[in-house]
Amino acid sequence: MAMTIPETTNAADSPHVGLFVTCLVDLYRPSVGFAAVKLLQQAGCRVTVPQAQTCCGQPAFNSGDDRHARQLAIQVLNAFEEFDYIVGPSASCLGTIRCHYPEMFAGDAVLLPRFEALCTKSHELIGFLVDVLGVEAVEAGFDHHVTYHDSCSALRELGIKSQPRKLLASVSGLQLDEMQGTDICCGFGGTFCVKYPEISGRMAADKVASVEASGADTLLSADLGCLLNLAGKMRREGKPTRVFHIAEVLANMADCKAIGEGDD
Amino acid sequence: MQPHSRDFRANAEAALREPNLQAALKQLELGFVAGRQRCYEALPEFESLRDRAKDILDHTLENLDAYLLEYEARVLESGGKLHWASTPAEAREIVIRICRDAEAKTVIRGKSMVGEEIGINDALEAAGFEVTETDLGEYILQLAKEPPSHIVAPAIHKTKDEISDLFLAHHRDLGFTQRQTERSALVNEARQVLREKFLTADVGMTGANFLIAETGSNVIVTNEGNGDLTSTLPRVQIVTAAIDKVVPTLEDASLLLRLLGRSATGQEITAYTTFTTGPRRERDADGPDEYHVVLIDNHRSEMLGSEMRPMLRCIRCGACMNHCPVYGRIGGHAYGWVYPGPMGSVLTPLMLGLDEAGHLPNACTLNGRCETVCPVKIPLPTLLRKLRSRQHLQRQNSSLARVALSLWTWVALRPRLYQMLTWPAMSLLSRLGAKSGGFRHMPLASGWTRVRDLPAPQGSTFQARWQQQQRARK
Amino acid sequence: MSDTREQVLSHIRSALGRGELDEAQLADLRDRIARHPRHIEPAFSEPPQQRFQQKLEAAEASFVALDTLPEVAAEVERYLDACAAPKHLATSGDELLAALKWPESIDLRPWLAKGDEKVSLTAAHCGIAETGTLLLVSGEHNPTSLNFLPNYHIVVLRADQLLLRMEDAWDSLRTSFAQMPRSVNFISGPSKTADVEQTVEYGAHGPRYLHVILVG
Repeated sequence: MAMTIPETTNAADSPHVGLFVTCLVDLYRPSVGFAAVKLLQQAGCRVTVPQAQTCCGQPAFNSGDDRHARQLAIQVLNAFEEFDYIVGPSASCLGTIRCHYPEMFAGDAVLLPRFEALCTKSHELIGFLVDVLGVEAVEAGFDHHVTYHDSCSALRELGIKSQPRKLLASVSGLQLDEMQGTDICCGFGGTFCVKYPEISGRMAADKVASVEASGADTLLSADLGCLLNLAGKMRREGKPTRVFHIAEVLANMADCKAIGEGDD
Repeated sequence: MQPHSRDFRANAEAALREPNLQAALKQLELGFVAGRQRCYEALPEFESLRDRAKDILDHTLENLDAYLLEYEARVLESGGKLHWASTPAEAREIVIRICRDAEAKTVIRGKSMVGEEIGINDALEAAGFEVTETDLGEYILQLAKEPPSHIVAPAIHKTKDEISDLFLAHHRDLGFTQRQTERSALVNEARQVLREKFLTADVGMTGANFLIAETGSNVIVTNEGNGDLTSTLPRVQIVTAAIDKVVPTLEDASLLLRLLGRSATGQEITAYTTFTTGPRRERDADGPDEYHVVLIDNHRSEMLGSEMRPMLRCIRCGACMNHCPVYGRIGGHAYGWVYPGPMGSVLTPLMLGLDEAGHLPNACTLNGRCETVCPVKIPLPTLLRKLRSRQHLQRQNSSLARVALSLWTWVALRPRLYQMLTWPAMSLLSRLGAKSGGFRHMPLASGWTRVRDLPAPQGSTFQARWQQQQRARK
Repeated sequence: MSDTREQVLSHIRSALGRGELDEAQLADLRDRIARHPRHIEPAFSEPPQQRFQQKLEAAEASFVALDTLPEVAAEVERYLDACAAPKHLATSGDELLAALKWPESIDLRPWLAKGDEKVSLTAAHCGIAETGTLLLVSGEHNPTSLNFLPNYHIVVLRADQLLLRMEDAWDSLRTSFAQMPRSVNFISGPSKTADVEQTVEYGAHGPRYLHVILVG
């Protein structure tokens, strides 16, 4: 697993990105973080990974625990305010930062302006590469039939739909087979998937069936929550589809074990 | 109706296993969802209409008292009567009194969700009146003694076979002794049976899609024509409507009507849209002698004064539930009361309380598809999340969840500690799961592993690896 | 009872964080009502009559255009023959229809609203091209039940009364009537339902057949 990233040679005046790792990438699949760094560096950015980061506060926020969500938001603000951009490989986390942090601090005369400034420079990785940096192609090869799942945050909070497809189209050997209902929720929904496992399981099963019907052998998405949900469901149903985060494929780093893949 | 929202989880799980319901719900994607999409693509002004509709309704709500008074004045001028009710009980009392005063025996009903909300059928029957629903879907449910499962297509969960059986059982005594199996024959039989009711009923009760302040009219939108017959033939008409139904002018209603049909069923306009104003005029050839409006609050003024106000813009189109992936798998009965899906998950807790309906705001992935299609731009996921905040503040959510979040936050606010704890934990988990790639069972995560495997983590953590590399460079 | 009225109004006002609106504010609102501003109205490019016909036919109504009013009687007979419908009919008392001369073969009946009449003939106040809609209003000679009880509903519309949009219909009503008629029906097709397995069937409670005759 090539999780070594060379020191950047990008100039001091190149865009300075603070990488928001996200807790799932940090804990569950570091390779996604390394892929993100590689893509950002290749696109001409200087990347710093603040140490004082853990969680964006989304689980607390979505559970109605506004107090704890705000505490975590302030930690993110303090760690990332100084950068030109804050970018991370998760639409749900960056959606929380971009769309919900200001909501959390509405009416706070001191903090709201700082959060508003933060949110305008917060981006999900693929959206950042395409819309802000103008990246049109990547140098990667992936000789597979791929289908792409649009996470709900990406689609509806951040307007990300065409951007991943644009970059995937530049990956040599990659064939994109769109599935039916790309815009239907996979059933993860944070705590929803454990609170209402039967409903969540059915939604995941339906999505797995769509993936299978597409004929693809690989599933990609930009959100690890969705990917863990679907990879877990596919394993349970004995499906052979391999699951990666799109960043891994775009950074040409998908030569490792897929999500949920064993040694056999 | 007796609410069952407390039993949401069990109801939902049962619904997932009902093949007829599942088939009917799959059909929703092809019917209403595809229909709305076609209308959306055919109307370039759709988004502008949504924006304008939101503005008109926000303006109306901001001046609700004044518009209701204008509406009332016009109703009275046209010879109608208007009754105010704060609660469902008050509303029921008023309706029963009107029926008694009119020496009525039989009541027919056009579809009214507010009527369901106040439980008017049971109350009228208990008071000795014969009540018949005239909307075909509601009539079927009345025979089956079931509540509606969708606000626009209430009997969506019933199969043709079930309807055939119901009709045979209930119409036999009326002379219809053959079990019909063709859809057209079933519709025709219902037409004949209900025709009798239309012609002989004393009281016709309808709802209102809108109330018009400019003229004192109520608007009903149907495809069947039942609402129109209900409004015309009996000698007394009662309109049950909530205070958030009023809009200022006829032109405002025209704009909203363009959004309503398209959003609900993928129709530009329904077969019948009827504006009724007061009782028959002195020289009119037909129409009821009495026209009553029962205007109901039932927690709406509370919502008006809270962060929930946007919910009052709802025009009851049903688009949110048609597009909701959760509703699309469990149907309406699981929600346990009158209003299902996303709008029901906001309204039910607000009308019945979070004790009764605490599941509903949580049984949502916050995916936002509902908000995308709401014709009047209600921020449904935001409102649902705010209900979760209320639950959290009132300590109505699970204490395990509260403790877990507190613990998570405490550690997460201490990144060094967090990193020290997580890398060995993830490394261990990774080693345990490396061979097979995942876990079928995981203590503390049974909610997850009940329906899916837990993939094994890669091992170590990003921060540990990154910091290690940074140190190595120095 | 007026207590409840005051209670509801006072709840509304405290929810809005204010007391009653003052005279100036009320005047503004009344002015908005009096001006009844029109909003965004969807554009369409087809000629109105073409659109009107197309929408009606898509909704399973039938449509015919005639040059002159006297032809209506023959058209009604032709239509009833074509449908094998009974040739008796009740008509509304519009002046427009009163001028028609009926052949012997058509049995004109008074309207009793008993529910067994099969055919009715009424005149529309106006038509709306945008949605393929007829506007019918109640009145001394226009029982609303004529639009809903029979199986076959035939409607005559003068071509110069075919308007573009519902908003135009409102302007027309405001000009034609001192007061909003009791019953204002916008009819855009025959009665239908999709309540049995989400499949459309016609003739739920209202007319199974709607035939529109545009004259002039």
